[in-house]
Amino acid sequence: MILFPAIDIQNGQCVRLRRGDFQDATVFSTDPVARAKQFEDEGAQALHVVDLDGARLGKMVNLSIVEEIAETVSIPVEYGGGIRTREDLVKIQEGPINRVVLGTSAVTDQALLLEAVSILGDKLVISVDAERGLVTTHGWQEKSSVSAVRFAGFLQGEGVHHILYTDIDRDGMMMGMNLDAVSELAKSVDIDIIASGGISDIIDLVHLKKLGLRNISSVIVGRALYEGKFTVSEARAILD
Amino acid sequence: MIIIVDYGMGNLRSVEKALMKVGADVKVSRDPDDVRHGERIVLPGVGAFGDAMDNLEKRGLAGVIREEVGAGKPFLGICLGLDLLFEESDEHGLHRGLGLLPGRVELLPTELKIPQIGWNQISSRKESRLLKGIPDGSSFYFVHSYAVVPNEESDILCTTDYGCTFVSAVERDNIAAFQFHPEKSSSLGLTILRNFAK
Repeated sequence: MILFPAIDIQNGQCVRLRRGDFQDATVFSTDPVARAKQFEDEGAQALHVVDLDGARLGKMVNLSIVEEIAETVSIPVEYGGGIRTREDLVKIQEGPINRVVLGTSAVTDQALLLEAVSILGDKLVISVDAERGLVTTHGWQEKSSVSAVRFAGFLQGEGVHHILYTDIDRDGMMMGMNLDAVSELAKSVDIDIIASGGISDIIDLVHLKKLGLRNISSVIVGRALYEGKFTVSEARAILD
Repeated sequence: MIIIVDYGMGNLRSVEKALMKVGADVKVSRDPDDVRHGERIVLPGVGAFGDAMDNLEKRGLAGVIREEVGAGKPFLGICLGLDLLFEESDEHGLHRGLGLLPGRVELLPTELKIPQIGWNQISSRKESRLLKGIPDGSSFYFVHSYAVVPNEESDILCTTDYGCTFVSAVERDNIAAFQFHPEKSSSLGLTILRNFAK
């Protein structure tokens, strides 16, 4: 399983939110590019970068910083936040970013989802952010009535290769991952699942790994790394 | 000067930056004259085999690559740049490649998910200057659906298991190529690029 350290960018800084609340941010670095490089030096094999300003405003705000990260590090970079149009997709596709995460826009705009599958192919990741089993949208500010499992099945049918699953009740709360939810989702589809939300201790990684679900290929960790609960290499010792 | 061949198949900045990081003097170019006069050639690329060959032919690059590499200029292929070395591919219909090495390109014969995306281990089949400092069994970053099937066993540099054993690197004289992305494979990937640039 691959560890993706998370870099969330707000006002040009590297921050962590609690439960996706834009008002509840902790700044961990003023230089996201340097922080990315540091993760790489610590042994990270990939990075997950989110443009929080983009997610909040519904347009790409920090793309240039993310592209600078992708060009600076020699590991794959996944990026999401604020991508809403076909033009956005084409622009990212032409740049150095390795994987693109679409969330809200895929839920609310099916035409865009189809275009994203055709433009990005295996570079496309669809983010399924769930609260009590239901998909949420717009930076977690709105809830839908679609179940996460049903939505994942739909995405698989549309040709999506990767799903990023985040349990928003847990994200940034250091309460442990909702393993029941992620395994229910992983068992319901064949495609690749990236698990996210709530990893707070190395033991959470042990539990996730122990699920033994082959299609959970990766895990995103944010706050736990920034707060020094464990290091990248300690995580890799569990996950590799 | 290392020439990174720009033929419209994907973003080349990552490869350029990675080579710069290891101290190489690089230029991204679509000019056949640069390919002719540069000291080394890097052929990266992602996308469809047929489109890639069309672009190389259209831009007058296929001929000069064949000539220069045939005459002994050091060549590094990455991902699609590995596939293109071979004679033909059955990716979306039959297409002719550069034909610098005998063999063909085929869909990965695996039960596992295609494309393979992620980190996987290599095991080396022979000694190579390019793998100096790379422990056997090291992991590299792959994104591919197709793999090369060389006619000559001796051209195989590394293999990798992905529900099947496929050829993940080849080397013959001045020609070397990798199915994985050294430029996205952290410090060990950079080691390979450094070995090539030396």
